[in-house]
Amino acid sequence: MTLKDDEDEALLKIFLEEAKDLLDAISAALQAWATDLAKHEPVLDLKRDLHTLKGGARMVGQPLLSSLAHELESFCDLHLSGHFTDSKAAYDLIFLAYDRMSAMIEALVKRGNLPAIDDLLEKLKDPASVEVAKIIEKNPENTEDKAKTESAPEVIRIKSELLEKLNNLSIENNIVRVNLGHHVDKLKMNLNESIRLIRSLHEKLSVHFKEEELRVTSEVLGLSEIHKTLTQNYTNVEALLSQQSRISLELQERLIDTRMVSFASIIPRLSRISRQVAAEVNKKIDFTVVQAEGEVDRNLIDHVVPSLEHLLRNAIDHGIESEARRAILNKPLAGKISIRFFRMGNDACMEISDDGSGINLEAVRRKAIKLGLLSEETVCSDEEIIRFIFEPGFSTRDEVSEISGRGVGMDVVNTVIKALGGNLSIETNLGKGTRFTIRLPFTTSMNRALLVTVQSQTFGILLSNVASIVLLSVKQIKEALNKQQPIVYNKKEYHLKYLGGVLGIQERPLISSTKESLPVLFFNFVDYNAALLVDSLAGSQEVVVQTLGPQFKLMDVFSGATLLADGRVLVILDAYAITARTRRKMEETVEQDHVVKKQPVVLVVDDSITIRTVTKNFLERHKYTIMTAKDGLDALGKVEEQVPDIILLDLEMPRMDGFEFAEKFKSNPKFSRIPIVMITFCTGDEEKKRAKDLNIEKFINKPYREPELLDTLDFLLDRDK
Amino acid sequence: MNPFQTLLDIERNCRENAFKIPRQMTAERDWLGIAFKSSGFNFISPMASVSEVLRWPAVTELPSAQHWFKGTANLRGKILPMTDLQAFVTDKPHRTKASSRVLVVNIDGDAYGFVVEQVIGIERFFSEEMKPVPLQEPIDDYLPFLEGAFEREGAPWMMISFNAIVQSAKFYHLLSLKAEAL
Repeated sequence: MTLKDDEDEALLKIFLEEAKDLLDAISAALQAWATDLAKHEPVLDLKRDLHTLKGGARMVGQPLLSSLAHELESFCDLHLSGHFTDSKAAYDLIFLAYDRMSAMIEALVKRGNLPAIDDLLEKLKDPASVEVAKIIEKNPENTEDKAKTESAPEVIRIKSELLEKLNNLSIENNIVRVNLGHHVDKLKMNLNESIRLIRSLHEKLSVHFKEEELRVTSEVLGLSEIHKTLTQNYTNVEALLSQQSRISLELQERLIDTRMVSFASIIPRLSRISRQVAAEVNKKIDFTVVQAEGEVDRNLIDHVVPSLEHLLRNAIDHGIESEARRAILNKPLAGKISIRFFRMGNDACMEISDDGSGINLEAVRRKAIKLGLLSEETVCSDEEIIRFIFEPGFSTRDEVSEISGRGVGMDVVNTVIKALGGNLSIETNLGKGTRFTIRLPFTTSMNRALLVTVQSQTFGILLSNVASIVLLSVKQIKEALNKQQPIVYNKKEYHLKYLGGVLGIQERPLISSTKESLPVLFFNFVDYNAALLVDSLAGSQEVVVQTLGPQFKLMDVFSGATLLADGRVLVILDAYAITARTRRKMEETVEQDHVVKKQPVVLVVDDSITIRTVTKNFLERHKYTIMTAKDGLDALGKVEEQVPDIILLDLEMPRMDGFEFAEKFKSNPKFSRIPIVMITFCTGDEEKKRAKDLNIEKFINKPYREPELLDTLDFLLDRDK
Repeated sequence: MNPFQTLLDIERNCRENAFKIPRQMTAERDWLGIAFKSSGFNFISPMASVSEVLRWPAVTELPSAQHWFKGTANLRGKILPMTDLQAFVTDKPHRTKASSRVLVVNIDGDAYGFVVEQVIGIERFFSEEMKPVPLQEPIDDYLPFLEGAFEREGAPWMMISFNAIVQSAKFYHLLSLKAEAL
């Protein structure tokens, strides 16, 4: 079969699906009409469905079907205009035609010969006959029921919400199963412990009791029997659980399969559009499918198809030159449009390329200047210039055509793709052509997420967004953060930001001296590159992303959440929004250099109001934000309200002393990395040792010397002077 | 008088003099709700609005969120956002206690969790107990979300509307000021 045949076949299948629905609708309209032949509404419904059917039949090259639908449509019009006195006769004729039409569709499904319709067409065209003629239905030979038995696999329709629900139930089921597994493991531990106790009890009893009292020990033996049974039960449960685990996982996979459609299924539609557009703009197009492998989530394809169509229209209308121009350029007369669908890692990639004129970057630049998006003097890289075509209302075309050039679209395409968690990239070569590549996460429901931690909090980032993960040396990181210099990786520049700072958890990373390197994630988005520093990586896993609900509509940094195997909620960060935030912030900093940097927050814990006030005033003069607490207990409450960057702690205080506070504070993983400076009169070796044991970062004598305190704060906060 | 006649007499007497069962008596006039405490005061919400009451679940906190947003929890496979009622309404930080409970409220198909100080149980009120909402601190803060109040034994019981809370603009401003400044 040639590609053309393949396409036609695929289109026919789509049409037949639709035709079945339309026949159902026509049948319903006929039934409604039969209840009251004077009613017009059912006939109007009928007409509309016939019209749709006619269009579809024409599209797939079924002239008989389309002319029957056409004549029926006209016949309905006649009836509506009050042409027939005998509505019953008109109804009967339409009903007969409906039957024949069903037979035709049936025949098309089985790829058999179509029944003849000449008799019907004649009657429909000659309405006068309706009033008198008794129509005799001929049963067409070739639509016999015998073909019914040889059938394609049965297909049923299910509402997508139901599938979604089943999918969610299955996920829930898996979570419960994992929990059950944990409990069964605990059960085993306890069983082992109990047998140990029974044995030891038995030994002790046999030593201490005389022969006649061994009755007791026999009861212990009974216990041991019960234990054996329990162990046997446990083994059975474990085996069943592992079997169930296999089944559940398979169920989950199958359910995911139900959401998948093959890439190839959208090719007929794209091919048809390319033919249409080519005809409209009078260009010859050589439409090639280079590769169309794999399947993709149905939701995804529904959302992305309009964007693909837009890119395709653009390529033919803008990209490909006119035939005359191509002749001068010595290019083949037919412009080449290639489509390629493939999988790359966890991404579904869709590529549309043309061998046309490419994007004239100079024209884009001039247009950007004209629109005031760029000043004459600004020096931009090619990549930066290409980004302008994503600006709303941006088109370099002088005249507007029906096909494209209205400047609506590219920005919409870009937004849609971003919303789906993907990105769009453009490569263009002046005179040689342009390639648009859309990368999307493979399914909208199942994704692979990278688990990252910041200050003991774990977040997910979809792996599909991450270009690379690199361990960078602490020295390099400190330099990039302190001097705000971009990191060069793979010949590209990335501005580094710390995730804790972006999320407002902790401005600066607390890098322990034993660390030599830290993980940095690199992102390449269409319009910018970004690098994100995290404290550590905690592996990756398949996740089903759920939305966080309407309350989060203003929080763009969280793209959703998922449930971990232990039932906890893992929040998924939107890499694009997160890095955009850092970018905005960076741009603002660059623009307004005088703007005060965010001040570190110092919590001063001391029972003396004088010391609290003096320290507060002193540190505020040195650009610190101060919180105070009057003892350890008070401080524990304060840190819950706002997490400080560092704590200055007195030792002797009422209610809860400094050591007690430090112990409680440092044992909370949320706070363990926040430095504590102990300021006290008691600087004995014992206290110093205790402070060291509690991981208290620094010990200063009271009363402190101001420069010493400032140096300590600077050092521990890694603060730029 | 035969014994059967006597029995019939007794039945008639009973029917005439019996108290009506409470349901028939009060169907039109009573009001049934989940009662709970917030800011030390008694509140009630219509039975139908609260779908369940949870103990404190495992919560994932969100960075940059307002102090009144406690985080998200797993409600049988669904993500439940949790708002501390007192902190949300009074705008003062409030810590959850052991007695705190989460009321799960379903609005337009979405579930929201509201953390309250303590759940008292189901309470029935009668229309004659209805009183204007007392104007005093900190009840004033709750006013935009109140639909009325009852008074019983001298104490007010405020009818709160979670719907009004979910419809308020503040409910969607999850980002803390500190985070916005970033």
